[in-house]
Amino acid sequence: MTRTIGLALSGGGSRAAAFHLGCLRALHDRDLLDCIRVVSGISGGSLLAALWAYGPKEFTDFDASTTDLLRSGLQLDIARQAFKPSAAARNLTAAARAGTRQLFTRTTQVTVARPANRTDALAAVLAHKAFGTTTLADVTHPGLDVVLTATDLATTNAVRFGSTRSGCSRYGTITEPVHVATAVAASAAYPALLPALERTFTFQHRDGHHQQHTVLLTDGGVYDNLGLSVLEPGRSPHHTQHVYDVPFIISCDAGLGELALKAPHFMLGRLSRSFATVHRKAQDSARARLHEWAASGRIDGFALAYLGMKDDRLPAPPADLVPRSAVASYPTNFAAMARSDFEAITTRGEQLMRTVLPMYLRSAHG
Amino acid sequence: MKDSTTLELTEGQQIALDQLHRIVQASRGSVAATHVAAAADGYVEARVSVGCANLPPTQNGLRLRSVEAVTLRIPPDFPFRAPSVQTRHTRFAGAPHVNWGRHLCLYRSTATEWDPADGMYGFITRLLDWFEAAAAGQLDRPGEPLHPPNALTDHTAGLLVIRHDAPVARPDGPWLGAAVLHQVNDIRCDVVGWLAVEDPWPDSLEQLRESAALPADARAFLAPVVVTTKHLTFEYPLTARELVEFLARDHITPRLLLGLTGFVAGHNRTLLCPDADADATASTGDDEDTPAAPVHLLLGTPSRGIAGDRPRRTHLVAWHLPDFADQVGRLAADTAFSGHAHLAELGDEVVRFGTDWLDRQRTRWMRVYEARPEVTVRRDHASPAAWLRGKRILVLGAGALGAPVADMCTRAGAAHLTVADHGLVHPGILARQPYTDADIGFSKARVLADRLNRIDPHATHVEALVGNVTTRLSALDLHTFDLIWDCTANRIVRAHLERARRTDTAPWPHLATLMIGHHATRGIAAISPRGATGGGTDVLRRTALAAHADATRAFDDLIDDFFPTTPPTELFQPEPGCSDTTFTGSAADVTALAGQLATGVLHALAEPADRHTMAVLIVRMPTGPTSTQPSGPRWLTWPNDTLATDEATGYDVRITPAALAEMRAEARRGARVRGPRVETGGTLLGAVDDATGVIFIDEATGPPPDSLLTEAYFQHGLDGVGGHLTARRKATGNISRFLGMWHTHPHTAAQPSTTDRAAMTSLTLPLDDAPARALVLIAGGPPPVWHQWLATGESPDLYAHLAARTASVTAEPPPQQPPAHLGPVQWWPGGYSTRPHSPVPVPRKGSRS
Repeated sequence: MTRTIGLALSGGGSRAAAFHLGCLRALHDRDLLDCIRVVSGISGGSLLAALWAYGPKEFTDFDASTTDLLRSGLQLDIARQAFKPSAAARNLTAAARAGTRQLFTRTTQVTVARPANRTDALAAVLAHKAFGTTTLADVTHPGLDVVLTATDLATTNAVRFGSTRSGCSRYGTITEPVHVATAVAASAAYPALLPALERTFTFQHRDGHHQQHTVLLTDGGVYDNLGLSVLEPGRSPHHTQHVYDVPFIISCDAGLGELALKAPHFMLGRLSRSFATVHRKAQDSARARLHEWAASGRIDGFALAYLGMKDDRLPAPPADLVPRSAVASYPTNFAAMARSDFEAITTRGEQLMRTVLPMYLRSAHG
Repeated sequence: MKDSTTLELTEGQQIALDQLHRIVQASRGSVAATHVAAAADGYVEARVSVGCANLPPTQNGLRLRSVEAVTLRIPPDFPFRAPSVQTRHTRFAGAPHVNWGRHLCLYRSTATEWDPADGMYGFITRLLDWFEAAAAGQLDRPGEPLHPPNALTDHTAGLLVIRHDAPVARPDGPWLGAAVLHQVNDIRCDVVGWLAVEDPWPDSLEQLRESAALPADARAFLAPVVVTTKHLTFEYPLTARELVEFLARDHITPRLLLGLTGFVAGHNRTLLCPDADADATASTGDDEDTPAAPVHLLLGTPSRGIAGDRPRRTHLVAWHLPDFADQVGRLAADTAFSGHAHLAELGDEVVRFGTDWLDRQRTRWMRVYEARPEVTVRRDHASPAAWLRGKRILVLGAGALGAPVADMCTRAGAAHLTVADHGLVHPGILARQPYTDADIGFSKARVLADRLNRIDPHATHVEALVGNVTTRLSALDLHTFDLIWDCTANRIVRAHLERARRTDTAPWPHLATLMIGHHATRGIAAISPRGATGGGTDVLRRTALAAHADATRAFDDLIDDFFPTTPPTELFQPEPGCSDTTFTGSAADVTALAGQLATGVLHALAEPADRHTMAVLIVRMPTGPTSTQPSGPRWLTWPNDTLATDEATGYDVRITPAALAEMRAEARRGARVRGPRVETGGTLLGAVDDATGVIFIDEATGPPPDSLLTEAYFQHGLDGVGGHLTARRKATGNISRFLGMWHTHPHTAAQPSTTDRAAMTSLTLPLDDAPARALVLIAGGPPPVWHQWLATGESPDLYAHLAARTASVTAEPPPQQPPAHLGPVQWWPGGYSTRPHSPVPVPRKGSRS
């Protein structure tokens, strides 16, 4: 089977992961998973992308283990992991090492957060519950590539963790194998909820020399919450390490839709709401870009399944469509999901994907 | 430089000399102009010397002096005519691109290579390039266009068109023989064959015509031919004496020439005047003096082809000799070549006399037009029309589309064309169809065939089929054609073709259906390649569906023009009386549309990747510079449908890949959620076409939520069906409607069960306004087939039955539980549910079920 599809899984915590699971069910039923050349994930989308790409070969096994993971949640475990004695010890020694390890990056004055924090805990939980010591190169499905995107707060560059290579345009390619758990945790460190993840990697620059840099990794969705920029057609290999020639793009967008009116009274709420606004704007323009690429013929076509889509905009909705109102208010954390919430979100994902696929794929993939 | 103001100069010549002056000044000594003078013919001649000291001599190059002097001849109408250049010496004579010993040939085609705006700057650059190439020995590089030897032709000597590939001489001696000439008219003859002296020659004119595939009334005769072993010269002499000297170098003596001429002339008499010999003794001698045919002596020399590395081809010239050559030649042949010793002396005398006579002749070179495949390249060889060469083509309709399309096929060199039309030429159609006043009242097909037969009678034979296409089609063996153009723009013809194509046991040739819109501003070409599941009706139907479904509304104009949901109210009636409705538009419009559509179709046929792919091309005519331009050509393509045959009617059931993919997705979903054996199903959307006998399945949907799914039984629910059908009907412009229901038989035969048969009789449909007929489609198959379908998409076994309801039944919600006779079974609801209905196992927390 020729792999011609780029799949982008957006951010949005467990809500996104569950939505994407539903989308993947529809793609499995339409037998399109084997056509996917590259999967790009952001935050919760990274989690789902990694669970699929590095998970069991059989779809039903992947479905079952992913359901278990999302239903039981990661949050309680994160809390437990963050206050383990080993983590506390790491925090105490961090100050002593700060001077020698240059925790201030070269160009910015961003202070590094506590080295062992709740995001470190998330990485540990992910390693424990899903990925173990699997590294990014160990993709289960032959011919599939993975790109998980995080943001380096120090340089504000996108750091892309990929099955073929990892790195960022500023420092170059990371030479060490990277654990899937680390990449997923970094990509999922939503700034309003989780602290940034600090890691030091050896980078190989374009000119060949090696140098260590410390990056402060946070949610990859700060700029591109849909994960589409990796799939942009005609990217020059001189400017990016990730070029995938995919004529067809499937975008799974677990975005919010219109924001509910809510006055942000206190600081944390305001912070979270401003992040939400940035995300929503970035997402709107990403959706517009998809249309542009298709209209200008840069890609053959795309399919977009959008959680927050207004139900009456669907041309032929299924009779038992899970309404937007039933899912849109679900928070974007990694807490355990109630069965009804989980089923509502996955079913809506499956329904939307199944509904949009025939509309977009009619001529492209039969 | 001499002061040019004393000369009588035209404005152009003044400009040329000014430019030359500036070039000389800027050249720092490498170009110098020494002398300017007026020539008698109004030209101005400027002597120019070119420094060639820096050009390294090469083995094959011309030997140049350190300064080469040439004379530029500047015409009075410079710069609208290019200057020429010649040498005062003949050192370059014999080199390629040197004519008449002195004339340097700088431009192959001044029309494209000479830019008047460049003036002398361009010309001197070209001259310097020539010297550079001459020094490097690259004047006649392989791969460059052929520069054949020159023969100054004489228009009164006649015209020769060479159609047949020419013989070449063997290394050990010249090729001697005759050319078969077809006399087309008083001045033109075509070379249509070659006879070597050692070959058997035809004994009669009939045999000669037959050997050259000429029609029975064609005038034909033979002409003597000599092909030399060696390249003679780059220019042919004006006097016979010089020519004879040239030929003697290749051991072609005047004796041989006279003998060959006589031999051929004698044979011409045998062919053309078979009775003359018998009467010869009785005649007064007039017949003896009058040649049976004109004497054209063809002279061939080896010459390189366009690609230099290939074997040399024969370059041909033809010398028209006076009639006396016929007599002298025959006399020489009868004496010197008779083989009788006692005639040898007389023969020598005749040859001596003949040689003297030849010496006094001027060479009258005939115009020679090349049409030999070996040395010519068709102007359309790289275009999609090249596909048509040698093909057999059927054109249905000889009107605004059919006539130009047939013309294009003929010019592209199709071997055979049948043009079919039942119409007669009316005065009104002359506005845009290629007929003339004289054609009025005659059959279009016949008039068109007559005209097309004159385009290239050697390559293309055109036949007319007069009569109604639908009734006369059976008279043709369609399988002998390579391509059928349906240019009738007639729904009846289209439906007839669709049905005939469907019911034929052998696959049809490629079928292209062409249509233009009401005002000839848009055109559509529907392509059904050999082996495609759908013909013209089918492809146009899917075009309409795709146009309606397009979310960008890019095809709205197309829908209005070709697929209106309500028929257009204003019908154009060009003449009083009842006739087929037609469209308005000019010859420019319809010819342009026909050309664009034909080119698109030929592109599609020439690309093997597109075989078995139905396609449609949409083109739009340009509008004025200030109006919004319609978008350019658009292609839509479709892979083949999956075919089944309806058990009840024998109709074709054509299932689009989209519909089958949706059924497969539901089957795969069922296997994933409900286990491998539970049936599923849903609604089918499409249409039944009784005229063509085709059931179109456009779309399939999954089971409505209130369906009932068990391992033995599928009961189609009602929820949302009506709404969905209304939405799809609206979205498709009423093309795709409720068609029937599908369900699966996982791992078992695709045959109706007892329950299925009962359901087909009562035909309970999930609709209030249910139609009287509905298709029942079962997808199933034994485990290997079923598994293959789910795993790879290989088509499952299919059963199709168009069931008709006899009694009127109102749609009532089916009971939400399985029929009692099935006993207690686990059943599943439809829709996107993930759990069976009953008994409900209490799921453990965290488990997937």
